Amino acid sequence: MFASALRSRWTALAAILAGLMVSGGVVWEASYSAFSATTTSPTSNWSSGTVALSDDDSNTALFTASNLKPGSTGTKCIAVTSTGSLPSTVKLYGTGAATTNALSTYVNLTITQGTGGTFAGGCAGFTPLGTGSSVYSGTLAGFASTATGFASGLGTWAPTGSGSETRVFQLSYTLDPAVPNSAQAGTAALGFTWEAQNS
Amino acid sequence: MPVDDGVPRTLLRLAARAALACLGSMVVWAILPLALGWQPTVVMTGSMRPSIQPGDVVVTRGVPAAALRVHQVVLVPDPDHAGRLRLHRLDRIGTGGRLVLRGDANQSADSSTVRADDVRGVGVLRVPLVGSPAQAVRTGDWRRAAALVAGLLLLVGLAYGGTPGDPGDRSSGPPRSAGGTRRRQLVLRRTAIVAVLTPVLTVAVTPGFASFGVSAANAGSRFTAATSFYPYRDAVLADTPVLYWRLGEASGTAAANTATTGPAGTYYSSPTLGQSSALTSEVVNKSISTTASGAVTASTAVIPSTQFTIEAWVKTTSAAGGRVFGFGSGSTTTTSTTVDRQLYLSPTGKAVAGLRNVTLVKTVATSPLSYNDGHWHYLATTYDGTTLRLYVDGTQVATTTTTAATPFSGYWRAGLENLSSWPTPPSGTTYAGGLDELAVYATALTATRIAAHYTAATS
Repeated sequence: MFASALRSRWTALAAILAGLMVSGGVVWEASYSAFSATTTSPTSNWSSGTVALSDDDSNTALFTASNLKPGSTGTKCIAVTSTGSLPSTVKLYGTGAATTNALSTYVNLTITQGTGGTFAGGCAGFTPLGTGSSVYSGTLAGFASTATGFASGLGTWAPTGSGSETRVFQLSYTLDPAVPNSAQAGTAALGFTWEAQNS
Repeated sequence: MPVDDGVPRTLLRLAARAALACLGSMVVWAILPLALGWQPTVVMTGSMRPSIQPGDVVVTRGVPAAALRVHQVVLVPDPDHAGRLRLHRLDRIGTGGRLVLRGDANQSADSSTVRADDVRGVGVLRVPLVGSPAQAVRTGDWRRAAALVAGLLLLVGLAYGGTPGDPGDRSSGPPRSAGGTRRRQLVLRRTAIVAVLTPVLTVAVTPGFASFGVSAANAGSRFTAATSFYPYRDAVLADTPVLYWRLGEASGTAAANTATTGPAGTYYSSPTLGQSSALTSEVVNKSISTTASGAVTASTAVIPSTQFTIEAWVKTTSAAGGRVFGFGSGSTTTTSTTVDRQLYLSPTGKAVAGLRNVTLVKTVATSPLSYNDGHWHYLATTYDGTTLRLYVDGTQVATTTTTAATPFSGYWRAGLENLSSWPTPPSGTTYAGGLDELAVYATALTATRIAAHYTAATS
């Protein structure tokens, strides 16, 4: 009896109706939880992996160079590590650029990517990539105006997301030996940001 | 047919039909809003987790820019990837009215802002999971896409399948003898469902990327230029020298005079040019070396003043001594017949300042210490009309009182000179070592200025 009741057309219709109602409920619930106007600022859930990027600078600026004279140089290395689980691309760009006496147009900047070297330990052991090691070569002002965000950022690094990958960036500056006296006492400020976005 | 076999199968069939109905209507939920001009979007990535999962279809509705509210989920053209759409939550409205977005699962807000006018729509419906096949296809995950389609086929099979002639499909279905026709109907129905659902699920909706973005920032690099790029040069020029040879040339035979007056110099006997500077404060400055050979002589003759200051930087390990810088009658590669106003090193490396008095007696002030140690040293001698002083490295080290002979016309020269008639003379006529920053003044500089010159070399 039970078996034949189950086989009735009404039962089948009821099953379909139940399915429709469930779908409506699911969509409503899903929409409400995602878009409700009362949704508060969501809590961060970034432990779930995805894209992760860190560096070894311990929140210390790469360069704090003072009393620069024509020909003054400096070199620093910074190791950037991707631990994300998604394939991503990493771009380097400048933030917070500022200058006085046009000094940034006379600071030549070279950025090279490779392996070896750390922020704290210096560039001993730094080896540029065999090909495509040059990330930037030009003035500080040029860098700041060219690479302003992820879309215009520099670099070709594309972590696969299959494990931790570290790339070391060597940054070198030289105050142009031909810098005019008008740049004396000038200043230039810049932040360097590496940003990873899933590709 | 035993009941205990038919009931589970029938229950399964009903459950499958319910699931299929649920799935089908969810697809309708995802697609139907197109009729209203709303845009369904398959979520491709997980940066809006946990509220929106990859594989969800999110339906957005266009709203005027003024109607945007913080915490709404918005669909915008990806500012960082041309041709992509980005589905993120409106975090705040930033400077210039630009929208700052953020993925719920991102540590921080997106670095790139977007214009309010660029917002394609605001999320209104989320249809879970129905975009999974589309997501799989678009990400090239063919194995998963095939599995999902196979799952769909299985579900359809369970709901409308059954062995031909199975009476259990419908209680009031056609009799067993019509099984062939029913089978064709079933196949048609199955095919129709799969044919409609599959493309809808895989391609009909545009993908939206909930981009993961994370930054490693190094802020606050700061470069500050010196208040003076050439502090030593400026210190020298401040005292108005009558000759200032910086010896910074990289090639050629001309030694430029940086003072506004006085003779230029000429390199001869091939000193080695372009050596690293005596001045740590001026990185690009250069020096010369006469270790192998070489001297620098004035191109024109002058009559020096009675009062004077002579200064030079030397670096030598010579045990022969040598004339560093001074005045003489000779202008060429030969030594002079008459010399006066000398800075030289004795064979033991002591610094000597020399001046002839009115009776042409050679008077000297000699340092107590030796300086032929291979390091740069700053030698200076001043004569104010009564006292001849010798300074080494900015400090007075010897002094003597003397008159001065009447000046004669001659040439300033560094290196090469015959001082054999002077006290503790060099053993030869050459100076072998580094030379830099030669200067002559028509006044006796004060000890303060001499010290200032030395300080400016290292600041």
